Amino acid sequence: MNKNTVLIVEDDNDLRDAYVMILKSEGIDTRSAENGEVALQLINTEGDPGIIFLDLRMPVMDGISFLKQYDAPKHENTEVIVFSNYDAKNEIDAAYELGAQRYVLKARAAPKELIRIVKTILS
Amino acid sequence: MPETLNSDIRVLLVDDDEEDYFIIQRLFASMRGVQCSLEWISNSDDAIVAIQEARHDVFLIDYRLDARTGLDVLQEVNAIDRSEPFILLTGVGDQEIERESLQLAASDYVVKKNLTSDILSRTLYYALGRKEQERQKLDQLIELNKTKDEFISIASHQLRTPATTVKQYVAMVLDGFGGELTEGQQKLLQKAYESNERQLNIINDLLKVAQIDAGRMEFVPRQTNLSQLLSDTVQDFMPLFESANQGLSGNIPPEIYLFVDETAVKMAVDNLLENAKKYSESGASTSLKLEKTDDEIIISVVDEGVGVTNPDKLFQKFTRIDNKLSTEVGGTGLGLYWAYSVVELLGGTLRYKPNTPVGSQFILSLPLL
Repeated sequence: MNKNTVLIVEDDNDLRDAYVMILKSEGIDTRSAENGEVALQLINTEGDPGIIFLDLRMPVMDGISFLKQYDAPKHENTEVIVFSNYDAKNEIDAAYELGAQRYVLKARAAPKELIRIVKTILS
Repeated sequence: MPETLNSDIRVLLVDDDEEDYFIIQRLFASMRGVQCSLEWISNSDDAIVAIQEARHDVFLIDYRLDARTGLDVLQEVNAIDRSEPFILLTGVGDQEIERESLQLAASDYVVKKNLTSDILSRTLYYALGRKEQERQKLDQLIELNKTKDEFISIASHQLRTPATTVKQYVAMVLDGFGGELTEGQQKLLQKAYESNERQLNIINDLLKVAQIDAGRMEFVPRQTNLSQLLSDTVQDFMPLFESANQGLSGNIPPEIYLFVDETAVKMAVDNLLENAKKYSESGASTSLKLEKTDDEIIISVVDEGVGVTNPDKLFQKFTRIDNKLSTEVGGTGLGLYWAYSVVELLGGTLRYKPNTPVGSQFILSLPLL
């Protein structure tokens, strides 16, 4: 992966497919993982992406555990964006402490919005 | 038999008359089957301190004390919310005092001259027994309420993921991911999209209110660049307003800082902006303003929407204001209650003012430390 790659970490298969489809339609190099552990393996073998969209509540390894192991502040060329909800404030705060830079409410992650966020960061 | 009666009952007598203390002490000494220790305090000041220390199982309080009456003491120690029974003693029977003492949550009301050791032990026994039953019922209710909150939370979480997925795919079809749509298809699908959006709003409202009501939202204040935060928010919300053919502008002076929980402020402002968009029609404009006065920071969301005709209960739970858009946009009447609670927990206030000529102003004030 490289600085133009987006990595989607999301456990819901349909939602993950949707995010991937949306970004690929814009020609954005997009990869995906169904939990934090798979994401870590992918990063270990293929290097850092430019952006990680990270779901927080996932089985096997959740978003917070992923951030602890990934040690985001050491990867300054990768922006971590947390997928979240209004009732997850405590988790958002924890994610920020661990180096996440912003959050996107899932209910507002419409196709155009996702594309806008990615293009703003990658440009 | 209530648990407290199995062990020593610690009784506090509040009475300004030493003679009465000796009489009651003798009654206690001749009570059978109940182990009591009696402490005596003769003035209301010391009594209030002692009651608040919660070292006793039951309080016997004389009606006539000093500058305060026994009823004043009940009021000052907030007897209604306490787990120990309060028994009021009086010289003479008086229905008015009896009625008031009941209102202030006295468990019993006893005329001193009628007191015998039998009456005294029965009074203590029943007062403690009733309090114990109350406590058990309250515990059951608290447990039941917790179960209900958990049920809402689990059910809503389970509902949210598929609803979010539906929203994503419908949005994709609307954006042409499945090929071009006819105008008719576009219109029908738009209805499905809006309906699904209402459903998601309801689920999210339920979850966020369940969280704040359970006291599970934690606050971590840090030095925050509010100017930056709000400018980013305007940028984030721009596409949402544009898609509804509405305007959004920011009136945000640079370099305003506050020691505050950044995420909480952002979430409250997000909520107000979402409302402004929901309750405005095409062509309307909303502005987000930031101001700093000598002692507070004011963030206001000013819209040109349908406004609020009856704002009295606006911030109360489950309040939905009737207006020409309320059936269309849907909601639970929980969003503003939630925002209000968050701002209150931050030590600030959230107020409503009508906007002229049309629309609403929501004014969020945060104290400067």
